Amino acid sequence: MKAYTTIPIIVSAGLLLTACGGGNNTPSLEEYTLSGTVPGTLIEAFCDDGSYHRVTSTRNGTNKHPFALNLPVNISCRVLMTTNEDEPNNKVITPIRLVKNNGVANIAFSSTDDINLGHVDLPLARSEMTSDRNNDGVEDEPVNIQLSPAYSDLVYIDTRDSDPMDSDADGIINIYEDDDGDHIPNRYDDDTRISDDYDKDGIKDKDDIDDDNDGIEDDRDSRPKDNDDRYDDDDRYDDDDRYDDDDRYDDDDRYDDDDRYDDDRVGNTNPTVQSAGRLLASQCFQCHGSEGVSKTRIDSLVGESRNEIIEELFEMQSENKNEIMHLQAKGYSAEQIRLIADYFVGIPGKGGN
Amino acid sequence: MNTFSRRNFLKAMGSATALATFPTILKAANTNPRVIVIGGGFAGATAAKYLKHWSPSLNVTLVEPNASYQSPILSNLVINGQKSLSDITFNYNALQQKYGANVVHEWVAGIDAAGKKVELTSGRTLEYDRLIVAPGISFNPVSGLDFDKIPHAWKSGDQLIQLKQQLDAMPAGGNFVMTIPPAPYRCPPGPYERACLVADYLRRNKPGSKVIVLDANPGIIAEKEAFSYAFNTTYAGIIEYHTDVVLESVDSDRRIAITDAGDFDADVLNVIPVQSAGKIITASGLANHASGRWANVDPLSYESTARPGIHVIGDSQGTGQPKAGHIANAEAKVCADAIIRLLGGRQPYQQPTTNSACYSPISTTTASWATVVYRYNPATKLMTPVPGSSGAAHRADRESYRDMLGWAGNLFDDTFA
Repeated sequence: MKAYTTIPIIVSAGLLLTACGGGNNTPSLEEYTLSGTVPGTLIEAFCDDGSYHRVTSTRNGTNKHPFALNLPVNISCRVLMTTNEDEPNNKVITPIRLVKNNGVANIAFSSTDDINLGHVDLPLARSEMTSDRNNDGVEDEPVNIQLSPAYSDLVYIDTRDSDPMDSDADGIINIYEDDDGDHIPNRYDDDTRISDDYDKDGIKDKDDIDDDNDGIEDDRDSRPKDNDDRYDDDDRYDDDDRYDDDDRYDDDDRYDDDDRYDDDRVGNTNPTVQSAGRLLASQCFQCHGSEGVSKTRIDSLVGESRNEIIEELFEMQSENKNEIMHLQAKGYSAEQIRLIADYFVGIPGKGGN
Repeated sequence: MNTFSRRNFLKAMGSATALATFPTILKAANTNPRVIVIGGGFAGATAAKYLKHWSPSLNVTLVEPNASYQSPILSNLVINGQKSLSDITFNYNALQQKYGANVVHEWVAGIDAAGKKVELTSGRTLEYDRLIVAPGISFNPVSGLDFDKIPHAWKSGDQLIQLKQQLDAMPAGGNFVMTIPPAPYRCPPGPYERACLVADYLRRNKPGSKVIVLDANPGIIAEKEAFSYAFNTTYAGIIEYHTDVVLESVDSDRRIAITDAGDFDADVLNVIPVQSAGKIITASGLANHASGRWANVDPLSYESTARPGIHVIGDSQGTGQPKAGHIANAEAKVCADAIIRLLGGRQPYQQPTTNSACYSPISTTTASWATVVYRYNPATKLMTPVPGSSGAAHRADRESYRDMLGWAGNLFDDTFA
């Protein structure tokens, strides 16, 4: 988990007065959709709350591929668009800067309403780039996108003086700089370390509760700065383990490379870590009964296998249904879901449904 | 500093149970950490249970003046006759006998934060290593309002029965008028739920009657779609809904709600007043929220930002999470786990979640629902709704009514059994 503590964020107090369950009219920290069309592109967003969002545009037989990226409302995010994303030596990375009607512009912005950027014309080859002076495949100048009048008023441009994700305020966030000058941006550069941001997530280590972004908070991570990426290279920048873990349904953690340094897996006896799973699981008890043993028509959770719990929650996360458990499932990270499942299978013989 | 604020409003309530449990406190006091929980509602009862459940060696004492607890959850079903008060009444036997907590049925006279002591109105003093305060809500005064004549019925119990009796005695063709305070207040969907159930009851029992809802808010603040449908369609011609109406005073004898939108005469008047944290919060210097009405806490542990060693959970805390029993139970577990860690010299879990799920009956056979998951945002140090986790029913239905009874049954059990 990436997280930091010192960045000021503008959050309206009204947002916090969410009703029980959050009525539809109640302002809440939900998502809005940033959409538009692009050439075939990976769209990424790096947000103040430590969250990372990505989506790939959809091929539709034209050269204007639609995309829709869901972002947290009222949280400043910075968006970059990458064409040729699958070709390491030919990626073209374009930072985006939004420009409002009144001329206010920056790479960090937020909104509460859906925003359509229209068509964003991006360079498709390095030869088409216009400002890549250091030849690292990242445009040195963000591309300005003029918001249409309909959307200009809906976007809040974050013009704070210092952006921890862009320390030198040049419009290129730190992880897309090329600090060692080898023409590979930090993000994709295995031999570059940012001295005060180990995982290159834009959050300085002193503010980051998980310096190596392996999902294990530093204070319980036996390797808070884990240089050995042999086993998790693919996952280094991916917040969402659901999509990167071949072992997602693998009960046998002995063979689960991603988890080899996770000390909260099977066999762990650290009481702090155990209580994380216990605490998370206890949040299910209000509906599903104490210790997951229901005394009513609501399903019990004990009696389900680890795989069943994980698989069901992941499936509900991926489905867009307006049902209580589908919504609830979206409240937990993949790591938290695994901790919950571990807890329930550890409750001995209390019977099933 | 060893000062107690002695307030007359915290009345004494002697109890044989309290005396019986007192020696246990003295015996264990020297060896095991002591946690006192003030208030035995959904927040406090859950905290006491889970402290003992997760750390049996702790010395846990619940201070709760009443011998039993009447739940506000499902209480509107007492008004329409589908439940009796005894169906939603719970006691603290399991907490004492199954989990080994001490339960003291007394009022608190004051908290000595510096000396880590709670003084009871009997004159007894209890020492603590960590204190949890969960007193629920208090009502801000309303000019002319006499609860003996105009019930709030917002804390279940006798007030609920009083409102039911007034409705039973109301003539057909009469007006039931209710006022809704500005948010935040306990149970955001509760007033709308009550309007629906009273409308349903009046339609069947008092033909020609009306339900006039005077809402201080600019619109329905929870489960808006389902309640809008119920107001406009299900109870069309019965419920009359007014927004942005601020109650100014009440004529309790003539049953008139005097508002900035005029006077509303009622045959039965139900005033749900503006709410603040329980009075012990204010009296103990814990109400440091900008509004002056709630207690600011660190949501990793629910420890007060005003008084170290004192934790505030449930409706009195000012994190912006809704004030309701289900999420109070959730906060209590986060708080209990954090206290166990802190007493062991460790840090609270850094990624806590809480959740709200609530079902609202809209008729004798249908209910609506709403839900949201909160997680800790380390950047803002606040609990914030997880994107995508918030939603509500589009319409009330029968399946949700059945689920409501299943949900409430497990929630009651998880809190009191």
